[in-house]
Amino acid sequence: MKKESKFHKNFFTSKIKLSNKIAIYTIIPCILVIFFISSITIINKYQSEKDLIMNRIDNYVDLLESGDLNYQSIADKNKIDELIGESVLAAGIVDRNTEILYGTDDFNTYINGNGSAFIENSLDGYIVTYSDTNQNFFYYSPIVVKNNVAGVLVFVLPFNDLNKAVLNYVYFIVFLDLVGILIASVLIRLFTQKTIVNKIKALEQASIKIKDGDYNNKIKEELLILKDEIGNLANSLETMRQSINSRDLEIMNLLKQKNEFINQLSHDLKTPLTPFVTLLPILEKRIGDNPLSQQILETFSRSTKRMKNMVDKTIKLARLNSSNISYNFKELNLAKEVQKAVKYNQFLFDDHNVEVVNMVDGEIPVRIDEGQMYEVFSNLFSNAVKYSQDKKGKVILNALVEGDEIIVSVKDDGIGMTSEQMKSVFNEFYKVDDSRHDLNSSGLGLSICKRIIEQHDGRIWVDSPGLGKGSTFSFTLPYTNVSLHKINDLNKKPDDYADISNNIDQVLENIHNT
Amino acid sequence: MQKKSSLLRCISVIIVVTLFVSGCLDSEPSLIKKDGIEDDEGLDQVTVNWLTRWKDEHLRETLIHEIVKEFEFENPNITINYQFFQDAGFNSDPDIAKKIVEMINTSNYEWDIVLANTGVYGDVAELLNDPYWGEKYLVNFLDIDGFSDTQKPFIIDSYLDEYGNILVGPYIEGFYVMLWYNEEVADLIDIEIKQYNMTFDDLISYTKAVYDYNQEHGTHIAAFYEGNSDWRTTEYMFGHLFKSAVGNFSQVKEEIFSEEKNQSLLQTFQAMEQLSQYDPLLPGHDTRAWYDTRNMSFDGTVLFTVNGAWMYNHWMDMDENKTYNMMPAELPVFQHVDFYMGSYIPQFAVLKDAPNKDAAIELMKYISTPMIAEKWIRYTKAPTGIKGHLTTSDVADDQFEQFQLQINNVYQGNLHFSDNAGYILGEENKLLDSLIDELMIDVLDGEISAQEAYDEILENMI
Repeated sequence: MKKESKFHKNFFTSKIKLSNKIAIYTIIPCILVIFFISSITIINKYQSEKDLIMNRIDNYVDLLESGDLNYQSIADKNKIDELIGESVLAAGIVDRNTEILYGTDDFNTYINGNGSAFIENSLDGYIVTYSDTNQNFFYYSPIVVKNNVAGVLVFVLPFNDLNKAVLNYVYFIVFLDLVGILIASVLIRLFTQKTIVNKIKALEQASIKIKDGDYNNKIKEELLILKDEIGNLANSLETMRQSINSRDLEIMNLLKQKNEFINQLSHDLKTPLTPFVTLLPILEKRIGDNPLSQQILETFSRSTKRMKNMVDKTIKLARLNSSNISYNFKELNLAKEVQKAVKYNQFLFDDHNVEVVNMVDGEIPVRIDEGQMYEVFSNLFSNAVKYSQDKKGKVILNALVEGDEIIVSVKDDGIGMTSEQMKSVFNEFYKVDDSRHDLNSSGLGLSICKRIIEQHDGRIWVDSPGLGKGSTFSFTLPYTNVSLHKINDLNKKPDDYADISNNIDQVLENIHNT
Repeated sequence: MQKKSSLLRCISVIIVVTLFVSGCLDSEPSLIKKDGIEDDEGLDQVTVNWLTRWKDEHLRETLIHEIVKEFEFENPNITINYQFFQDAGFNSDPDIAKKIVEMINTSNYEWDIVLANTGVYGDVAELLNDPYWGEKYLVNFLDIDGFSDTQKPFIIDSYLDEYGNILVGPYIEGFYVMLWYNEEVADLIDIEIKQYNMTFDDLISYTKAVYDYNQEHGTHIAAFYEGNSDWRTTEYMFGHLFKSAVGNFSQVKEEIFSEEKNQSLLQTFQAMEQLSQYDPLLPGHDTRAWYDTRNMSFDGTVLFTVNGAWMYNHWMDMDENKTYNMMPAELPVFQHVDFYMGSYIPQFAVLKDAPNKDAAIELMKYISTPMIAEKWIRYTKAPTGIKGHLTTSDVADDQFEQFQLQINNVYQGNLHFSDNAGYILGEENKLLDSLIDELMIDVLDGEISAQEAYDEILENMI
């Protein structure tokens, strides 16, 4: 398999716009082709320039041979320049004895050395062309009179002058190349922008909507009718959208049915439980001191409470999952809320011999539903003490601001979790340790937490170094940067929170009494 | 590393293309055989002996050298041994004529090509007592294929009768006769001389002006240059005045004496008599050899010099700057005429029995090429009878070329020139030319009257 070069990899993974990438990648072969064609053109131009000069010289020789022009004209540099169309360095005619018949002033300096050898060649009937190291172009032509070589015509042209026309042409071609490349780049850029990039962008936006759960927007018809790869992609994406949308509706429907079923079931279960709950205390008073009867009644009472707890939790979760629940968000100081939650759950920690370290302090403005948030803390505390090992445990509460959110953590030193357990711990009815048959656990507490936190635009997760090494439950809340006095003002007002707080105090007292 | 690799790749492409381009340039000699070349090693070497002229006549001499050089270039098997007649021991046309006769008589042809102007031809005719000697002893170029086509048509039509109707050679030399004047002298005297359409009255006024200037300033400027009896150059002015008095060109050319010519002759002598009032001639002319005193025309001694276009080359050979002070003007006339004085001369002829006749003919053919015709016009500022790219000067860069162009445009081929008195007094009185010249001089010198000169001519006529 061909290995992709680093350049290509870097190039294609770079932040350069796709249209520019295509334009750059397309223009490179274009430049090479243009360069090649230009080279061929320049060579042709050079050849044609050279041929032009040689033709002029040949014509001049013809004129000499036909007697239409004086041999002496070769000594007239201006006339020669005019005839040849170039600035001739030297020109002259030598006879068969290599004596100069006529020549320009410095002609004799050019007929020695190699020149004499080429003159001999030319006297033998050859047209000789040669460029020397001084960039002089030599042209030797036999002058044929009456079918015999009478002598040799010699032209010496400055090679640079010969190339001047070619160079000018090269500049012109390079200019054309640059203009061509520029125009080609712009055209390719526009073409790819119109035919590829804009369509890919439309697909990208459509896929983003799908990713965000918006399955209602159909892919644009102009993309669906395309017969190329983009059209195929658009059609695939549209098929996927329709399929997901269909399944989403189906799932939503199923979830709705499930919630309705659970809710109905819970209410159906709660109604017959009510007499048990209300009549059991009466029955306890009347049963007397029969130990067996007390034991039976106690078992019955415990099971009834557990069942009621499960039904309550199930109803709670069902409510949270339904769209009927409304939240009462307020701007509050999270530290105070944590303090309250600890306070109200202190009996729980005491019962389980768990020490609470609350490090949440200061002013942490948050916008929360006070009651729901209390539910979250209660569930997390309950969870923490529930899985504390049979020893003196410790729960550490902390909160820190990170960016535009607050991370609140509840850390315990309990039994800890495996990574598999961590993945499922927020699922409904999931219990971390089935083997312990914790009859008091409904398996819904963390699901309820998750649902509440999500309704607060936050996330919840759990970390654990492993079994026996404790767990840390963390959740985020959006950070609300409100001033302290405002928070304090809020705290001073008699509000729903105060009512709920009072209610909770009352409930706790009742529980204790019970 | 990757970047280096890409860079190397780009450089490699550029190098390959550069090498491709540079590979197309000539670094090694290229040899291409030229078509149409034959092996000439079998040709015999020939030497042509050519008695020629125009020594010390500036570019006319150069022309001879170049003709030889170029001809030998084109004909490597032919060598031209050429000598100017002065260098070959000849002093005049009669000397050359004698040599030609000697060669004919002895069949010892020292020269393959000889001089053949009208003077030499006439002298040989006299010596051989045969006006048609050319037909017997000279190559008739009418018989050489294509040669007559190299000459301008009027040459074949009008100029062959002087040579017994044969074409003795290329009519390379053409000339007009002018009234040259020294512009510096004219400025000194403060006269403005008409270059064209000069009448005799104009000439009288100029001559008088010179006389008056001399009187006033005590100078000795002559109106006209004149030499000794070898060549009375003023005769051309006399002849053209005579012709203008006759008026009709056909009549002028006929070598028949007529009443019109009779009256015209007297009128012309009377004109000379008018001029004589102003001492027009440079004193001491009888002792003055023309060739040795040519410089007097531009050294401030004289105003006018009557002579041919060849004087340009004579003077250029002596002093280029002073030559450009010499202005050509038309010969004066009594009345406007549609002809002018000038002619075309063959100059060279090939002896029929010359040992290197064929090679000599080749040389004559080479002289008759447009290339040489063009050179003649450029070198001599005079016309030629050979066909060429230029019929006359077409550039008119100076006064000489301008004059040539003007005369050519105005008079076209209506030229007439004669070395004998036939056109004045009739064919039977051809030899009275010298008498006319001498009497003309005597009248100009004021020694005799016009009537006396006229009477003497009539007395001597046959």
